[in-house]
Amino acid sequence: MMPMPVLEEKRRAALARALGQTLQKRAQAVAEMPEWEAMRQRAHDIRAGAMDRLFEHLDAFERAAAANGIRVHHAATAEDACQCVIQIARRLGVTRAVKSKSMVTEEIHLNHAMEAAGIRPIETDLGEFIAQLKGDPPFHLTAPVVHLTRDEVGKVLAVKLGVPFTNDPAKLTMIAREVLRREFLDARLGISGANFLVAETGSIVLVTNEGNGRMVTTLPNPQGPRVNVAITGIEKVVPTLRDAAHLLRMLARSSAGARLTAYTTFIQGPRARSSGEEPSGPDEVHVVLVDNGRRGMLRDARLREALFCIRCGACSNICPVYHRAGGHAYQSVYNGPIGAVWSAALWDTEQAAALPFASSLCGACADVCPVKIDIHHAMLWQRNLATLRGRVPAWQRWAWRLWRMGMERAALYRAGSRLARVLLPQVVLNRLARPWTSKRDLPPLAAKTFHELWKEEA
Amino acid sequence: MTGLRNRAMMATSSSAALGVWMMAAALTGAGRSTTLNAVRIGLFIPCLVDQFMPRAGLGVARLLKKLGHTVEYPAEQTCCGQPAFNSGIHSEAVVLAKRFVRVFDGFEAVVSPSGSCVAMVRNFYGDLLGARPALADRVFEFSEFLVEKLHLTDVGARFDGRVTYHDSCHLLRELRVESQPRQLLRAVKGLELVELNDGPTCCGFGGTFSIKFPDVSAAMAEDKVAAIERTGAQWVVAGDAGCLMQIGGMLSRRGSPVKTMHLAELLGGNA
Ligand code: SF4
Repeated sequence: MMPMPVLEEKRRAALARALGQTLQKRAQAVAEMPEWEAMRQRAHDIRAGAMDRLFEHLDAFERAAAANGIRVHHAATAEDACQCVIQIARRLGVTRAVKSKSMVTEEIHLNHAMEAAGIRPIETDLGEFIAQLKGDPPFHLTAPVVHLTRDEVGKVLAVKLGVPFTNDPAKLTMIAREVLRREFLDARLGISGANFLVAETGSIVLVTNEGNGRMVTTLPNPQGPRVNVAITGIEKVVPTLRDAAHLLRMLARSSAGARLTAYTTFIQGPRARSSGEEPSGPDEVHVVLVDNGRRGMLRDARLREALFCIRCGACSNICPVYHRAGGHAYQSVYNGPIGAVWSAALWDTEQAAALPFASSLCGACADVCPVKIDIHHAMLWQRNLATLRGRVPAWQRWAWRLWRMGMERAALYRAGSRLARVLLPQVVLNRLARPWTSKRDLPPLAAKTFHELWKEEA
Repeated sequence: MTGLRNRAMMATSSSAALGVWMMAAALTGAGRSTTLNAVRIGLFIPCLVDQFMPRAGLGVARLLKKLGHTVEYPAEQTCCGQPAFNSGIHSEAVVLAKRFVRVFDGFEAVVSPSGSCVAMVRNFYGDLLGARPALADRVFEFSEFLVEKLHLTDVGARFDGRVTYHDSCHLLRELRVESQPRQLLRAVKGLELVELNDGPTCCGFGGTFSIKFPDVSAAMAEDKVAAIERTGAQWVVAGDAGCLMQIGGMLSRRGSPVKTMHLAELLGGNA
């Protein structure tokens, strides 16, 4: 079993404060909507409907998008997706690209692939920008550096950019803005994710809090052709604009406690010359639809719900395990409760398979999820999958078998509990239960079991 | 023991099954308005209660008897299979689940001082066994049974002290039992109930989670204990033995004067 250490006390407290504030805002935003439960159900139904006929919706999206002049690419694997982007960059002849925040690009390790191909990706979301400078994977689905203090951010910027140290958030933002503004004005390749794809209109929907998504997808550089690539998972499609609108409300309230995210962009296609106005926007718009294991999730009735996720991060914000261990302890780009489910579903590694066990199954995640994913029950199922796939060591399976054989025979169970009381004094029990007793005391066995007391009462 | 098995088998024979089914319908469906008199109740005492807090089991038994019900404790019972199920070992859990259904199928109602084990039967047996057994609708957690089925909040108990109630996750989120324990506690003479106001957040027990991830689990217990201490309560009460072992173990490690008690022991221990 993977070790999962607890964050040091100060960081843990700071993280709890930050996540707590976000949750508080969410709670207020939810309290504003007396029909919240019905809204969740509707969001769930929209996502369920989208997944039930996923490939029909994808086809519809592709047709509508193509009619708008958007080019759609299919990537079966992470590798395919990275190559697709690299080829676009090569054809364009650029050595740099600006990026807005996208978990799918983290999933496929696009930045590494681009760097290896000699193309420098520049993260423009403030959090991602800092994470990239620091060389850290994201700590949280929506807030990549939520664990860093102002001082730490100041140090990263001072060291990596050679600017004077400051820990003033406004000044830090201005420093980043200055760097990023130059990049925006220069860039000819903009890479984004997509929060939703709308099948009926072929639109790409993108939300950001800082407006960088809009910068990345409009690209004002007049020198030469400009290209926009949206990389996203196949599960992001929704049937209609109405559906997207509902999910946007759920996303904003759940992730940040806002009524709507500050910047919501609907990308309809490349610049159009027909309107008579000054044409604007990029010359080409591409969408890369990434599978990378999602079809497998779709086929498993008990994992399919995980595909409903709209990446709001609320489940991490409330998760007691995430609060103590932090995002990096999951050792996966997807962390927190839904991250554990996704990681174990996408990657067949020992470490990923261990993640669904790193939960007390308290179910707080499922209760805040805006699309009503039974997150903890998916984990329960994945624990069984781990057994079926031989990820549970043989000695453990044998131990369970012996345990079951004992429990099948009441007489054996009773004899065992009598014997334990005679042969196992508390000191021995304490030693046997060391992982438990290292941190807390083990309550003593009752002198008599219920079974014995019951017989006495009768 | 043989007698019991025979009785259980007879109960599943067609005519008896009809009676059981009708009783179940009364208990679960329109049962809300039905006053239940003299129900034959099977006591389901989970392993942790049997081993560590048997007085909680006695509390349930005494109280239900005092209310005029027939209470039986099938001595063949052992474990519902939850530990194996939660560890992903369905092949072993399924054997114990089938066994559990065999042992308890003859009862009109099965009552247990554990949210966790009732949730196992009610919410997960269907998935585990491939079809949800009818018994799943006749298994109740103790406080839920008193309030929802017997329409009782004042059980006539007395307890002097300041008490806080910890919501076990399985009671709260699997069974949606939240107000019932509080109603019962509020009616206890001499008892002052103070709210924990910490979420409600998990105590970090989580069965084998507490052993596989001891650091995270203990960190959760520490925060829970801190929240308990902030209330100024002398006692912390819960409806699941696992939580009480986790919380009690941390209280004792920290030398805290706060004590733990199972809800069923508090309500019925001296009945
Ligand atoms: S699983 Fe639900 S709560 Fe968690 S990020 Fe996805 S949508 Fe949000």
